[in-house]
Amino acid sequence: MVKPNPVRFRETEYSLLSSFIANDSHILVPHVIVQGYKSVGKTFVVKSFLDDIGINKTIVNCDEFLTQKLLLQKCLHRIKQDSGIDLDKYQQRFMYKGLEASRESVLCETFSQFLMTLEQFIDETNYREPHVLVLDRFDQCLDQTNELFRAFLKLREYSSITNIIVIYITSHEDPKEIAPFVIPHVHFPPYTQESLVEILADSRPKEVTEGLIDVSAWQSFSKLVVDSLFHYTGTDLSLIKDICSKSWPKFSAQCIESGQGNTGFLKALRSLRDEIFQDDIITNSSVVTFGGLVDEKGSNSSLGDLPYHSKFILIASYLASYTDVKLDIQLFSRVKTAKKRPRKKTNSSRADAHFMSAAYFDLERLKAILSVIYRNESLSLSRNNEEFLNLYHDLSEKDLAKKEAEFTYFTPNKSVDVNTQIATLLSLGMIDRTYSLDALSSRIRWKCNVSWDIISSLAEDIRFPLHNYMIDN
Amino acid sequence: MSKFQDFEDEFSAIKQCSVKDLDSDPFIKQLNGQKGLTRDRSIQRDKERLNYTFNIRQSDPGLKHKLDSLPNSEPETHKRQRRTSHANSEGSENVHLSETNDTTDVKLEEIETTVTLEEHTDFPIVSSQDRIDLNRNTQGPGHSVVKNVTELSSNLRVPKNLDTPENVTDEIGIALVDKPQEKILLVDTSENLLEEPSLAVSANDVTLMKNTILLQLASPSIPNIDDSLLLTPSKELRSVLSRTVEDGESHMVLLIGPHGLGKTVVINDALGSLKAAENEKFITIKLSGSLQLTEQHAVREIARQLDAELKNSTENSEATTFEQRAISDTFANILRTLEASVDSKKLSYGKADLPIRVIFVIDEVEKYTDTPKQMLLYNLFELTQNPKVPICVVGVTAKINIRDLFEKRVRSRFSQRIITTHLASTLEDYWSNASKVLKVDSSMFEKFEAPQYPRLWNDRIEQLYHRSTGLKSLVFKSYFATKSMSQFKQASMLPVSEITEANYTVNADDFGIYSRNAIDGVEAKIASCSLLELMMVIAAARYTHRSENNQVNFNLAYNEYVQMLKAFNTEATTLSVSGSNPNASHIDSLVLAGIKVTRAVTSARIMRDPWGRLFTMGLLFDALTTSNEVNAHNNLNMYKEIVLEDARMLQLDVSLEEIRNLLSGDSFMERLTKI
Repeated sequence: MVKPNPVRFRETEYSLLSSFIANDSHILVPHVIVQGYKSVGKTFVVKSFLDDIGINKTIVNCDEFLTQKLLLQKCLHRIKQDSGIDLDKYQQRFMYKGLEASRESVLCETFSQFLMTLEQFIDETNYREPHVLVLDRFDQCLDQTNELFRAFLKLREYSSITNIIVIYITSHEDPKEIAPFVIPHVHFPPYTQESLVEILADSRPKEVTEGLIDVSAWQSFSKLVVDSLFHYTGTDLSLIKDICSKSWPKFSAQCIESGQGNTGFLKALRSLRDEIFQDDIITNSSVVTFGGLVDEKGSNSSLGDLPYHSKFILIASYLASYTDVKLDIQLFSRVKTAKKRPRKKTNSSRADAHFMSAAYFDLERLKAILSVIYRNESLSLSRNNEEFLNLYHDLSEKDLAKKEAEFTYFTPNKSVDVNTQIATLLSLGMIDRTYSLDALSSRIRWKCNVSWDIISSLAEDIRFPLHNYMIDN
Repeated sequence: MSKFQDFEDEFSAIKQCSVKDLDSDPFIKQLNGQKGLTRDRSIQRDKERLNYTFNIRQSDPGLKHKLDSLPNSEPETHKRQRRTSHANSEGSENVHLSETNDTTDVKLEEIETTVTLEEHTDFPIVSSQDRIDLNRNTQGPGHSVVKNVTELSSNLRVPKNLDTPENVTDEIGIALVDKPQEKILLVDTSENLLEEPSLAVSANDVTLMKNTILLQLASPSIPNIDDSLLLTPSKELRSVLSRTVEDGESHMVLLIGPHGLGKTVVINDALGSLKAAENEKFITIKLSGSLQLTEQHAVREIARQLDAELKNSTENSEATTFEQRAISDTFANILRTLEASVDSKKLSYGKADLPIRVIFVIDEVEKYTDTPKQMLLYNLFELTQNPKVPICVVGVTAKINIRDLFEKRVRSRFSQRIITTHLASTLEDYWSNASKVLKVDSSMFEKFEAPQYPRLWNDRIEQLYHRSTGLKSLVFKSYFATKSMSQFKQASMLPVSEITEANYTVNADDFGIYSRNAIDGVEAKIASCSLLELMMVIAAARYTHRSENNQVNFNLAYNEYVQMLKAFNTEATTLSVSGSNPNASHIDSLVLAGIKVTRAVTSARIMRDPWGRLFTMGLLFDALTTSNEVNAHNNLNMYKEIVLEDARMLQLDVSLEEIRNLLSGDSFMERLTKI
């Protein structure tokens, strides 16, 4: 068999596809699952195969649909359009729950309704040509599609349809719902590094096709990108293409400037090496996670401008999240013996605790801890206490005692400001809480949303002895 | 990672068992030791069976019995083996071996052949470039054809490993199974095929052949149902259904059997034959647990199908107020209609005196046992108790414990009639079923321009199976792994679709391509990982290996990754001095002594991406909890691009040992997997 347009490095997969699907309504395998992790040319091969054999086809990108109903409606709609049947002449009458439906939008609530309508269409128009329905990225629908998958596999069994083939393109394992069905699979193994380079070298950018830059320059550039980033991208073609397209404009401009040929290429490379081949090109190329809210150690300058009290609240929330309730008396009570504890030097095991996710706590606990740590550690209360008392030489003992008691029982919680600051921190995303419809529900629980790195640098900032309040296990 | 793609050796243990291997096997040795006391014949027989493959068994039972009772058959094989290997060592020396055993009527004729081994064989039991004796066995009179074999085989180019004793006996198997005249054909064709085939096959024939076989392979049905494993169940079902349709009795039956075996085929076949008979009118209502997920949907579907059927048959479209209502809450509606059909609707049918028969086919019945009351099943079963309504309920399921799932009132109404379908119990059964879809039915023969072509095709298929070819290993693989027919069919599609005019028979090697292509599970995931992703997998696996709970988050994994690489880098200097490669020359190691090869530690910012991709790929997944609600929610996230917090606890799909096995060959990675 002459393969009209062999897709490079995918010859086996191509011939497997061609053994399952032919433009002949007699020999049609009802379903084919095309599977391969990451971007390895699945959709491309399927598309070019279907183009080659010239079969009627409908390609639906499943991840674009919010619900299953919309997806099925789209499938139905597109199949009708792509069938080549004159839709002006044929007007389908839909039955919906025993009544004739006037709108298409009520259709396809369940798969069997979809099937019924499709069957009706095919029967009434006598559409017998083989037709391929490609469900691209079927496993990435927003709705869970495992049940739908199973239902789709019953398409032929529960209808008189014989001419529809469904190709499912997935990039994950089969869901367990369809495991009992033995469906023809075409697996796409990852590319090798060499084939990746070749494929990349073939997809020439505009500058090369226009002749501004040598083909060899693009080839060496793409090889360079693959070589330097292969450990990161693996064989993910779209990822590496993305990175290439990010750095190519700069590079090509430099290349054009420094002239044709090898020397030009080398010159451009030398001048841009530091700019192009570094980690930034990776981190900028993909989605910046919100983890980047506060990026790295040292770069938390955004937190430096928090109010003094907010820092305390944040630290208190961290302590509330990462220390055990059982130890609260030991850690935060006024019993003096509990306060002076020796620092333990077990760094690694303490590190473990900080890597875990934060526990939820009640707001009351946060406030209690806040008042303790604020009284103990805040500059205005603990450090300058002596000096402050010295100001009142002439006060009577009674007044002094009263003042002292005032200090000891002082809590910032009474201030309205604390609540505002907590709310601000919440809206900044540094403190998190469970959501409930009832805003006043006592069940709402809170947790700290910033990591150890940030808290420790904050503590350093305000010279807060964080270790005094944590027990290392 | 080529090793993932090669599953050729998966069943090598079955195929490769030579006498030598068996004798060195400790288990057999132990048994041989006992043989002095009790002569354990069955063991011996087992050994023989392995030795001779199954062809002897497939041949006439008389001979098998004789061979089994043959006391010295075992030593005989020994001798042959020894001699063959002797011949190997002696080079071109001819070894004559002739043994006749009068007691068993088995004539051992010896034929000398020059065997040219063309290439390295797949199953090298005896590998030789020299002359090898070919022992031909035949039995009794009427088998004189074999005499000619001497001449034939003198220039017979044995394609592959025909020199092994196994294949010699293969030939016996065929020779004994076939009738004499067919044997001539067989010898002819084998020669024909091995030389360049002289048969000119037209393009039409090839297309016809391709379409015929591909159609058989693609459709779920079985070409000749009466001749297959499904004969008994299909007979039973037909009788039950015909009693409902013809005699107006009510029945219920459960059809139980594994997936993909042809339960639906049986039902469709039975319904088809009833339709064809057309004695009585009946309505079929098909439900499926995976299409109608709830009872409400099922009820609605019943209503719809009844509606459609009645509309078709009554032809007067005035009937708009049938079963369906805008609300689905009343099953009673349908029940009333069904019972009403006894009184009113029967007039619409040809046989006015009889109510219509309704056959319910419910696939995946177990789906409707989920609700506590099992309303649908209860009502249907209750209906069958009503003599006025002749209905038949056929429940189809793969669950053998389906009866236990019925609620007690449902169970008490169940007739206890169960039909089961079975998997092939022996390899021969499996092959005789499987071969049917690869062969051309004799009724099709005259459609071909060259009538000998389909015959040659069928012989070729049979022949390929009896040699150690891709087809044989495919049959073995699918039989011993799943016994699934569909798998076999799917794998056979490629070789059939590849036939051309010039090469009009299947290429045996193509049978392996499909299964080689099928890499799945963790292997495929690991294979598609980039280096950094692999590092994160290893780091996470190392962490979970050490800690008592099996959950890990990004912080922990990254911490482990940093530590891992640090440790590796400090070791790296010493390793290069000592020379990790034993073949390295002294000078090399001197040169390398000064060079420290370290791995860069990538920053956490970058590592978050591989971590996220691992989640998307499914290697990492949300930790399973005891709360179903949370698990269901987490399942929704699966395979999606979502933002993973650093502290999000995840579970890893692979253990450290697995990774080590999967990565064996990559010394750097392997070292990382060792703690």
